[in-house]
Amino acid sequence: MTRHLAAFGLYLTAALAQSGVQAPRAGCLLGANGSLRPVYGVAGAFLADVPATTGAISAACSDSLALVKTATSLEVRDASLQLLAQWDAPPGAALFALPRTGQTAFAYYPATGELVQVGPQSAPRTVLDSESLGGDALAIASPDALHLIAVVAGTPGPRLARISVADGVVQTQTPLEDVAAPLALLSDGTVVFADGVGLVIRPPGAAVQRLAQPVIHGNVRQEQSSVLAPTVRPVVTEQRMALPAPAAAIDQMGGLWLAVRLADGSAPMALRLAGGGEQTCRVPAKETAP
Amino acid sequence: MTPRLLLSWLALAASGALAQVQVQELQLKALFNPQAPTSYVPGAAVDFGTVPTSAPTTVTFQLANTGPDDAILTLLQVDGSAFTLVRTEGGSEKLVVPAGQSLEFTITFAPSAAGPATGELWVQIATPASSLTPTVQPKVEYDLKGTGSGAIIGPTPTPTPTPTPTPTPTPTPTPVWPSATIGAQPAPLVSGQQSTISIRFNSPLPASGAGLLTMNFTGKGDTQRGFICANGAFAPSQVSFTLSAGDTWARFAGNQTIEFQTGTLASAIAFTAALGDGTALGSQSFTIAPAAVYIDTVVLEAAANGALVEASGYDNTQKASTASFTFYNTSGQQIGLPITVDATAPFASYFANAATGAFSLTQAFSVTGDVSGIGKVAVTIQNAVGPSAGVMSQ
Repeated sequence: MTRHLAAFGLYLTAALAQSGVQAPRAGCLLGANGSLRPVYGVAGAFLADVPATTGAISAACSDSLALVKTATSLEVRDASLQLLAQWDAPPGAALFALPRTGQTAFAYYPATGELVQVGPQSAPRTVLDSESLGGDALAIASPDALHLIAVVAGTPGPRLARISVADGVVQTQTPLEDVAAPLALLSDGTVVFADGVGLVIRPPGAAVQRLAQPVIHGNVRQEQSSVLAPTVRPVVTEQRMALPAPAAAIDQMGGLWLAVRLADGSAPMALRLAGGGEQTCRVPAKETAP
Repeated sequence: MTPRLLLSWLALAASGALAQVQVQELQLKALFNPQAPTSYVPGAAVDFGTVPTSAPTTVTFQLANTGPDDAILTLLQVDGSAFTLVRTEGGSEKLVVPAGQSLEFTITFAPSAAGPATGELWVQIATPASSLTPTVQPKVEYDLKGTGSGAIIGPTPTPTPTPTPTPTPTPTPTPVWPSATIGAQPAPLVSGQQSTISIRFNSPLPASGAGLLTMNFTGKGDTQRGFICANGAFAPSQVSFTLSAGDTWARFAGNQTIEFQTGTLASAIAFTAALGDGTALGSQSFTIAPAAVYIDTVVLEAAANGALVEASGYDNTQKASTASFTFYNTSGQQIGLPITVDATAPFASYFANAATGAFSLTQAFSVTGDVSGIGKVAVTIQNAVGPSAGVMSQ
């Protein structure tokens, strides 16, 4: 059946010929052994299928692309983890920023400090060289088509940098407090990082409010903070979430989900942050045939 | 109409006891020979008689459905440390008891000490099995009792030593395993859930050992239903556990519980715990009831000349039909009336070959006007149980 509606200058039509049903795909899961598995299902009923590839050092998935860093190359794969393109890359791990959808993504190589833009049809283009950030990136994200944000380690502490993709200019840098690896950066600026046997989820509002405080150094921090506290109370507070075991790594599993690998080797936790709340569940992995 | 379940006890023990229990019609029959069953009403006691502690007795039962409708056996459980339930006929695949057919199981009476022992047999069904929403009937209980003889535990008179030229080797006694209760948290089990399963014994274990926890189910297989092992591996039907003397829990890689993913299809699930040699320890059945479609995520994307809506979730009945889309502008005002799409055919085509209730429905919309004026969309999907909750795009 086809129906129409017209209001607010919009006229929408739905056609059955343009509807389809398929198995839901949630992204990909990087194993500690370098295997990369597609993940199917929905929250509470995920299953990581048999590995589509091995030898991955770092990986991240969106709803439409996957980036995989091997020892010597950067691979661009589709959502089914089929190889689309492969480029030479510096040795070691990589950090990734993949918009939820789309065909453009970003990779950062800690070994060289280089930040590149890449896609299935385009060779990596350097956005930033090793000098421009002034420190090592700990996580990157893509808030929109024109910008990147990055958590950058440095002295006196980590900071959040906003970078123009077109010209590589670092437009703003704001300090971050108390973040530690492993961590992930979401496109809205939320920082997720490990703290003991749990996670800290710090939305951008909380970070901004903290940054409104005057810079305080050393042992006087507590005293001065108490004096200034009434004027700088955060509106948005960070959340803490317990985990079954300490986090070993936080990867982008899909367009909506992070995957938190645990130090005890148990099934990773999928974490979705939406609507001001969080949702978690395990992602078991189908055993490979002997 | 409520079907009548006839529980026929075919006594294969040395005593030749035969009994029949009629559930729902409140009739219990017991025969102490195969030709002469005796009836009991629910709550009455079934006496296993006097049994030596060194020679447990096992009785085979038949659960017969004499009613007009197929019935789902939702609970078949024995309590009492001296009584152990073992499924023998067809494993758990026969959780649906068709009208006019029967299901076999056995109960072993193994007294651990001289003296009286008691237990309970619990039976529960849901009918009719063909319904998407079968009615769960009240639990029916039958008392079990028996008396152990010999092998008295406690101070015994010291026999006068008799000189013998060579000592006779003492055979290793077979441990008598206490009754196990298989539990799930949270309960009841529902689709799309990660729960925990445990095996708890009603008294400390007499010995150490190892066994298997097996999950069987009725209906279609579900690729997303299974155990989540401590190493992250997915075990679709079976996991191992260990037992330690003195403990009251089975341990899964050292833990009291193992995680279990219920999957996305309605079903009756039966867990059975047994030792490696097949000795039954306990069993428990759960019903995952048919439910309305659950929509997990809705994504709205701009597309060429229109918009694309993707709704992911699960339908544990695999009978999804119509989908309703309500659009809102960027100010949150509803745009016109909801658009209803009959997606019965694409859902049926997909589910016909899918061993899962999980789906991703993609619907394209042609848009005349500024697509950027569309802010959000709420989606509702109908199945045989009813409409889903409306879920807004993220």
